[in-house]
Amino acid sequence: MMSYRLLIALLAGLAAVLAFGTLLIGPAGISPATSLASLLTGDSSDIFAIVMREIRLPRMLGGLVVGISLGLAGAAMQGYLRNPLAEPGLLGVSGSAALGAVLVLQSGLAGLFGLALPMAAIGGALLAAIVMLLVSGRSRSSLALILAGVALSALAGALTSLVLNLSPNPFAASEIMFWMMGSLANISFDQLGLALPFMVAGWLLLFAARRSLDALSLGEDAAAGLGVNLQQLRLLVILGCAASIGAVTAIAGVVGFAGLVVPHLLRRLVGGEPGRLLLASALGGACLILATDIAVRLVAPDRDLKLGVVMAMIGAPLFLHLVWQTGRQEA
Amino acid sequence: MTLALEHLSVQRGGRAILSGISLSLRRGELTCLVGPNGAGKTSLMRAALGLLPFSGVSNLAGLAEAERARMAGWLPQEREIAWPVSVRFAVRLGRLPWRGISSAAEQEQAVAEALQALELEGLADRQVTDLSGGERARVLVARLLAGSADCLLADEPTAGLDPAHQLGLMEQFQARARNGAAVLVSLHELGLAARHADRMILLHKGRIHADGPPASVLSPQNLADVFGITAWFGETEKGPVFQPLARLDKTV
Repeated sequence: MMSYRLLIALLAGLAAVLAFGTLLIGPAGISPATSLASLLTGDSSDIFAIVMREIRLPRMLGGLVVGISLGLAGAAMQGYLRNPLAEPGLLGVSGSAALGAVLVLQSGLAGLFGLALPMAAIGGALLAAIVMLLVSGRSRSSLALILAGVALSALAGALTSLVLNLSPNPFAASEIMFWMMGSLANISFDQLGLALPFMVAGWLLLFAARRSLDALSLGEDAAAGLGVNLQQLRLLVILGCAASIGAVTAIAGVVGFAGLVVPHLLRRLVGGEPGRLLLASALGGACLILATDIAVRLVAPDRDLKLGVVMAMIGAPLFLHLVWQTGRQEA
Repeated sequence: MTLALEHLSVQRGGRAILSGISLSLRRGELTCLVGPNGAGKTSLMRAALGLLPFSGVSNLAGLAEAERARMAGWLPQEREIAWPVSVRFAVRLGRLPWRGISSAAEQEQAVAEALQALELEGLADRQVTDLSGGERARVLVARLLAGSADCLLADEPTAGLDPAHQLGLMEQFQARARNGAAVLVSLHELGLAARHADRMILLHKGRIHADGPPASVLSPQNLADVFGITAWFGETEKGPVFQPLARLDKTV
């Protein structure tokens, strides 16, 4: 097994290279040298500088923080539920965030002021977190949490469908459909400014849970015996996921799969330790999202291919391959 | 500090699981907690640690979580290790309550001693998922011992193990008691309990039915009343031997 520090350094290096790469790609067709020159030195009359600073730079930063959030929350959820099939969407957080955004899109509020949509999405996610905490209540077991999450996801999904169903305006409906596919294309600095504090807060909460997640490897009862406060741990995980994943949905729509597949891939390199997997998975998530966002723009430069669509198209076969390999090893 | 309970009761779903349990463990003693299925052995241990709501007094349950974890180690019956982690990592988890209190060298020292006590040095870098049931049970006991708590509570640590592993684990608990710890182990194997226990507590329907040396607790009357069995109890040069013989003709 690779040394942990080396792996972290490699992932961080890869994320940096990919982030740099995303700056150089886009429909404006600016040469790499001009791109960088404009980004660093161009003045406000330079159209290339505007493209770089207002479009590509926020898109790159958005990809970075969306990836970190998805990878980290995915690893935390798998660690918390002790289940390699868990992902942040399981809590109903992303579904509820999407519902908030969809309501704003449908009502036309999104057009009135720019931050209405991300604010509604984050609001939806936090509301979901509160419902989860109330419903799963005083029970210390994570089973109640999974069941409540499944129910909440279903409810948010149904309400989102209802909005689409009743939508009198086909344009609004298609706008909603496209938004839900997930994309980094329209991220602005204003949106980043709104989402980033929530993401960072979520990251801190999830990292604070790492020792408890390690202890939880031995089961809930043994972890409690080791001094882990299970209720506090659940609070950390739910709020951490809600804040970071709500903020992801707010700026990028619904991006699935990364949270499931990244911890799964990296567990083979890091080993099973849930605490160590958090940082590796955060960096791995950033790599996967940035790479996919490059692929989106290289495969169909002028078709506005959606990140969420490509992610699932790459991720699902990869995941099937992993499952197949695991099955063969066990046989 | 060891474990002291006063009038501890546990209710679940309107039913009394434990009623009026008062006991205190003594340092240097291996106490075996025995009783039929459903007698309340697991509930007693979990309530004592504050992992289950109860009424009455437990000196451990009132402590802050980390402090309690340093005072009392807890080994649940389920031998769960969720991820393919190394044996060393699993044993290190036992030192979690001591983070920031013990130095890194002390932490590693305790882990090394626990690995050595359970003869796991050779397996330290193996993944727990590759181990046999008996090896896994040893890893978890090593995790418990690594915590160097003064009071150890282990719930059926020998269940499902072969005789050599059972004897090996009981010797570990006995050794820990000889070193000054108070050890409470719940067991279904009365023979094992009779051989190793300094003191035996017989639990029946949520109450302490008998408490004392194995020979007095495993009296024919107690065995008939609680387990509905007859048994042979004898002294050999290797210590007491207990063998259940027959089921009494009545429902238990």
